[in-house]
Amino acid sequence: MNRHHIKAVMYKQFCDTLKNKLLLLLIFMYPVLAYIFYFLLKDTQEAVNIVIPIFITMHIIMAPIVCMSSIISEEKEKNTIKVLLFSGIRSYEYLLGVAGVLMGILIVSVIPYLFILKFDTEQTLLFFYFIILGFVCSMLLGSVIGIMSKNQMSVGTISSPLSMFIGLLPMASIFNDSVDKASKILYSKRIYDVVYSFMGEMKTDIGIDTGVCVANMAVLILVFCFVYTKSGKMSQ
Amino acid sequence: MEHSIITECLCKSFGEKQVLNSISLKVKKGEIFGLLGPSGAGKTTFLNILTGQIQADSGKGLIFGQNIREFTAQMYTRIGMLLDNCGLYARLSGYQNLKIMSIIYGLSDDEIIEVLKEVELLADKDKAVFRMSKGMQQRLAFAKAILNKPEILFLDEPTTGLDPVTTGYIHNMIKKLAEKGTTIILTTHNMDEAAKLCDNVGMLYEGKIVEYGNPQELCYRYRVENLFRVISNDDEEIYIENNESGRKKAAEMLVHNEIKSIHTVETTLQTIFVKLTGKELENESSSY
Repeated sequence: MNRHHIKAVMYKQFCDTLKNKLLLLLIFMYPVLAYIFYFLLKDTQEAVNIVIPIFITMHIIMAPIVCMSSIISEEKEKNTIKVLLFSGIRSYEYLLGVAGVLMGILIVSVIPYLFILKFDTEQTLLFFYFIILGFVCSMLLGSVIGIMSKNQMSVGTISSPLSMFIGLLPMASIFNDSVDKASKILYSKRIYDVVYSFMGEMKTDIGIDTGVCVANMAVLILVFCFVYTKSGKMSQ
Repeated sequence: MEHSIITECLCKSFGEKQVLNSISLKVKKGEIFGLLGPSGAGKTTFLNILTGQIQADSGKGLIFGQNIREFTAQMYTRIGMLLDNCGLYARLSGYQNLKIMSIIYGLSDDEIIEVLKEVELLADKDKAVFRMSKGMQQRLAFAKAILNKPEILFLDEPTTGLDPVTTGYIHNMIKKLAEKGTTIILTTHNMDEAAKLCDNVGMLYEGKIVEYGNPQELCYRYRVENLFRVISNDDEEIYIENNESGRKKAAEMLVHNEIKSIHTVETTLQTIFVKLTGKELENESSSY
């Protein structure tokens, strides 16, 4: 692993993301919407306790999937990734560099939630722990979609519905027991349950929640490796 | 080592179409070599094989004595590429685009500034690429290709679609680099450009090298003697041989005031290409 290569990719991604208004909107619109709903519903604490975790879950699921897939597909379409790869950068160095910057920006984007949630120190640490697990899973899924897609237009047709399905499943589980049971194998549902439990509405087993998230991550890593190997070089 | 690039019997097919058919050539260190041919002749495919982007079906290629099938990261630090796509990040500035490459190659900011000065983009270094004109973008892409002071520079139609001023600018930069010892491989379908710049040219047609050599020597070898080109008052081109009957014909036309102008016939790479292949290049006017 060459640290210059990862540094170059991180520099590129940091500068480009700050100038990519659509990507920034996608990342920061969730906390903004959460604040709007918080002020609209703050007189009804029960509603706040349901809605805010939903926005957080949607943020953790949808933002990384769409961002990561969009970044990779745009670079493939405009051939900029080809230039990087033929400068000696390896595919995994590229992905690590992009994911590193995206992770940093995503973590910053969830900080505003803390002012609504008012967690204690232990809850805050666990919150960030599960946030990071969720971001990693979502970025793996976004990478898979980005590698498989041929261009930006095709990536949108896959990433948006898929991320909405996974992100909104916790909300659907509120209204249906069968959906609630089935969705417990997904990291989105587990993260929702953790945040909801911190707001005092239910109890959840952190150990099992962690196990499910890690299992999801392991499956996604296998899927990623399969897709990456099958599709060959990322420049194709 | 005398030759920077050696290829032997390189072949490449895409499906049933044979794009390159047994291409063998040698390019010396410091030489400007032009690969000429119309669109679809296989020029870009040849460059892609030499730069390790795709593999040839058969044959051998050596760059710096190393097999092109075993391209390493270290080899990429010794070559520069200006390919059919610029690979520039549109939202980033010119400086930022070069900064990415400078981090990869371990270069300093001073070297970025130096290259920007060379391509006369220093004043616009903070301008986003999407706000630059096509000529500026091409100069920036050229700067990116030469930033690491490559020993071999691959240029794929570097002046296509550019205005004459920018084209002349790029030509001057190519000549300066060659004077400093950089080996340059460029592809073009502009024969005038090849004649002006290249030490040697290879004419590629339907995957085969149909002629190879120094442009001036080729023109001398294929020269057409004893022929005049007459433009009539109706702007019709008439070719007249410099013999007794031809001179009589010309004299008659002069007496009847039918001649607008008389020219000698010079052989160009274009006329050689037409003679060898029967085909003209797009947007090129024939002089024969």
